[in-house]
Amino acid sequence: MFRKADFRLVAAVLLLATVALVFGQWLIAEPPIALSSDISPLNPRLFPGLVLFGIVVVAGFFIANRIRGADDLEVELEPALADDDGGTKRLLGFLALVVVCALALNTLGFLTTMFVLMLGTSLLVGNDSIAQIIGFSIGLPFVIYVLVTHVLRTSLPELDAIESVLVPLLGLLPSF
Amino acid sequence: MLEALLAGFEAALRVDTFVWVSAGLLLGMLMGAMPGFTTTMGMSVLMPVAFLVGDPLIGIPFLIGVYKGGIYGGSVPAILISMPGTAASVVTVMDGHELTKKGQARKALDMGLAASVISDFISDLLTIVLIIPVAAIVLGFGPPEIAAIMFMSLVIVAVTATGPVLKGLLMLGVGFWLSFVGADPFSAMERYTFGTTELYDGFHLIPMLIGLFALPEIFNAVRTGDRQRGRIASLVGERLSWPELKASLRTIFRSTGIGTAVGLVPGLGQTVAAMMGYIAAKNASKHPETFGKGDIDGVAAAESANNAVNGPTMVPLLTLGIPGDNVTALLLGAFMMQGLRPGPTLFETSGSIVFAILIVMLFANLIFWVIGYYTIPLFSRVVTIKKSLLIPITIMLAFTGTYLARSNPFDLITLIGFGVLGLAARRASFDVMPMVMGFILGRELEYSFGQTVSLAGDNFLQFALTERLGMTAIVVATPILGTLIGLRMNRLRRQELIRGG
Repeated sequence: MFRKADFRLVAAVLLLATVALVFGQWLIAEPPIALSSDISPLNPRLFPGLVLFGIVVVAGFFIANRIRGADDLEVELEPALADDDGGTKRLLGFLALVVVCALALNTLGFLTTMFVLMLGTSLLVGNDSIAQIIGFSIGLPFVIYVLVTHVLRTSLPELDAIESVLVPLLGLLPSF
Repeated sequence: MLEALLAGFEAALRVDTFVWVSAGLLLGMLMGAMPGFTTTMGMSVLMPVAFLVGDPLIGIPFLIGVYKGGIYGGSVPAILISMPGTAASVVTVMDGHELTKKGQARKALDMGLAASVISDFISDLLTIVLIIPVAAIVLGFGPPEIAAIMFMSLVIVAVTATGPVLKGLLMLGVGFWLSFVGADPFSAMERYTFGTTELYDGFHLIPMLIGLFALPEIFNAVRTGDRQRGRIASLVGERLSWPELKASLRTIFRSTGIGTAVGLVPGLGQTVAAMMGYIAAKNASKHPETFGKGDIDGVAAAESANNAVNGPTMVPLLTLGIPGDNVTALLLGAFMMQGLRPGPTLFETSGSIVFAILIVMLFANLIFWVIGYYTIPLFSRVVTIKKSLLIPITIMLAFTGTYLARSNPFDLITLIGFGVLGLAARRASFDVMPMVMGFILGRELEYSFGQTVSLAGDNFLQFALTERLGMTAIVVATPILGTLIGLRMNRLRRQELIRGG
């Protein structure tokens, strides 16, 4: 019972909500001067406090029900994870990849980051065609880059060196 | 209101709008036809496109095209390989795949398309007819009534979420709490920002929606790897004939009525409509024993009911600003990003644009029929495309779309955070829909309630019992309505579980 995913998630929510409720006065700033009820009819702590209290009550009730072993209607959205062939490792690797790419986007630029992201993801998902991986990882980010910067006229972060090569090339395309 | 309708009609007749709708329909059908790729996932990833085109008469119809195409596209793998492309097609599997086994796949797909288009067209027409009086009524609503209706909608959404009510309420609370992060709407004091400027405006809707709807699918695909190879989808058999369609028209009309009614109630959605339409068709049939064994009426009932939900969900969304399901939550985000704020004043400020969008929705069905008719063979092949090819493209689109919303790399971290939360919720069998609703409506509810408190002055009870009886009636009726809908939902779920063995 205690090892079930939903029990653990509710326990985590209960813990976080309790902490947020207890330390609410430090997490929500008070107006430096008293505001009249016309300007601020509700204290900024009122709704968050009520909601957190509600979460604590519902989570507590859920956990108490589980401990009592009460039967409730369960509709499984996702079958229990039976990890067998390195699925968790792949998932953790993918998480690390997306976090690194998110942090590196502004530094490495759009095309390089997306190349790394698509290459890594293709390998992790199990695509075994190197030509396909390389072709898609270079071609698609480039198409998106052209669409966003040239057609939609929105900027994307890019390295100066790459941009200096691309700008004259994009200038050859018809303007929209 | 009628002037706005006429102006909307004129505004809707634009070639570029219909080109984008067609693109949306094709992309939606593509996404829906791929097992494991849901309509909400497709819409969330493509939402930034709607935002960037900058014209509500292009961006929103484009997303509506994705929505309509996606719901039908989901029936393609449901019929061909017994794997619903979207949750709405779960019921279609029962008879659709049996027809495929009998060598009548083409007929089942044709019936799915015809039922979808007919029901969608009728329900869209009813939506336009219904929305005029509803919009006129809600124009008189003030903050107290809006707050009460939001409260009612949130309760309905929580009790109709997949799984036990406690889980729905808990997710609603979490979404609500997340909406409080950022500046307080009245005093602008910081709440849960930990002193960071990135959180001062709160979490952005796009990373939240993409994170919760698209990323868990991607995480799941990475975890399971590519196991799709070798699956065969065969499109065989004769096409649907006019007498066969005519024989099923009664079922289609019945399911359209059911789907339209379900769509008007926030929180129920396509799957419930499909189940109710199917059960009603079986009960009305002279030969109910054939249902589940390849009855073409079963496909007609399920497909017309789930597609009839599409239009009416726009009634609570546009008039009250209340999204009824994941898809309308995404559409609400799209409207807001185009500078249109769904709610009682929307028809006053932008009536012609809203009617134009509804009229485009109506005509999109005709394009849908033509595109669907000619592309069925193409989409029947899509079900066999390797996931390992699509997942990298989807993650790239998710990243690009999220970044483009505010050009803020912090949103990418938020995207991943919500993705992990969505995955955890999935694995623990929690529906994220109440969380999204809580997030979208949380601040609005707080603001409307604050305005109500201001209006009430010193004596709130007297205000509620004498001046705002409508608000009081809604608040009092909410627990009763919630209990009744919750009980009905439990009964439907039990039936579904029994049927599923």
